[in-house]
Amino acid sequence: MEMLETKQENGIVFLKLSGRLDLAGVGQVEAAFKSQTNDAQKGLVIDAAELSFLASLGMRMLMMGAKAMKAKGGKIVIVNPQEEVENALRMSGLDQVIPIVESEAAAISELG
Amino acid sequence: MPVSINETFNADYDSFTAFTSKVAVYHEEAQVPSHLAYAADLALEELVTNIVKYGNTEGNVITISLSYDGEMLEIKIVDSGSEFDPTTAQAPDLNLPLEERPIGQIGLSMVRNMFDRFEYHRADGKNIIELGIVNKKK
Repeated sequence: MEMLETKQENGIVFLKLSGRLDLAGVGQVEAAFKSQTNDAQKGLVIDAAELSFLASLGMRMLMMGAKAMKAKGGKIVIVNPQEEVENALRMSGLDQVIPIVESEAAAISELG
Repeated sequence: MPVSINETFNADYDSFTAFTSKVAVYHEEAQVPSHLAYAADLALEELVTNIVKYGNTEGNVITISLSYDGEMLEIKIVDSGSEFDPTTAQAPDLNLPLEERPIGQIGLSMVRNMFDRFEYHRADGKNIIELGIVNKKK
């Protein structure tokens, strides 16, 4: 599991998550992810194109991040998830608090 | 082509992580379609992390068998920890704000939604979970 910060612009942090966000994967990136949600002022945009698996522990990590962002009036937006990951996000209702969009441009407009 | 996986390991997170890499190899060798492999991985992760977290019995071991025959993927999980039936675990209360819903319930309800068969029984002091999912995309 890898997490890469690709850029920061106007209070928005852009991250790319690759690999499996399962028990082991969450262990690898959770601390870094938490510090990114602290840094981001307006929003956190996650490129999920290479995220191949998302278990409930990974959802919890995303949900805690969304909660931290919401407290500052911001949001997490997920860009371009793989089909199975998108199904899991929708089935769990996580897409109600973390919008799923198809492009970085759509993510930026979602963050207003 | 390998017929099935059958492994026993200690009920701890490190042993489970080592087991998941064997499952990945099996998916590859048995040519498990990606949507079934995903469902299998999700069920294993959600159910085994539950056992490790709540099974709290000294020396608890988990035995898992997994097979795919081109039509159906089947999983059996046996452990000797405290009695727990994941099939009747409460469904998440959809009226609660998402961030207040217990995450374990979300995991188990996804497993329930994905699998055609999800059964539990207790025998000889063991928890026995059986799951099955048919390859509908064929």
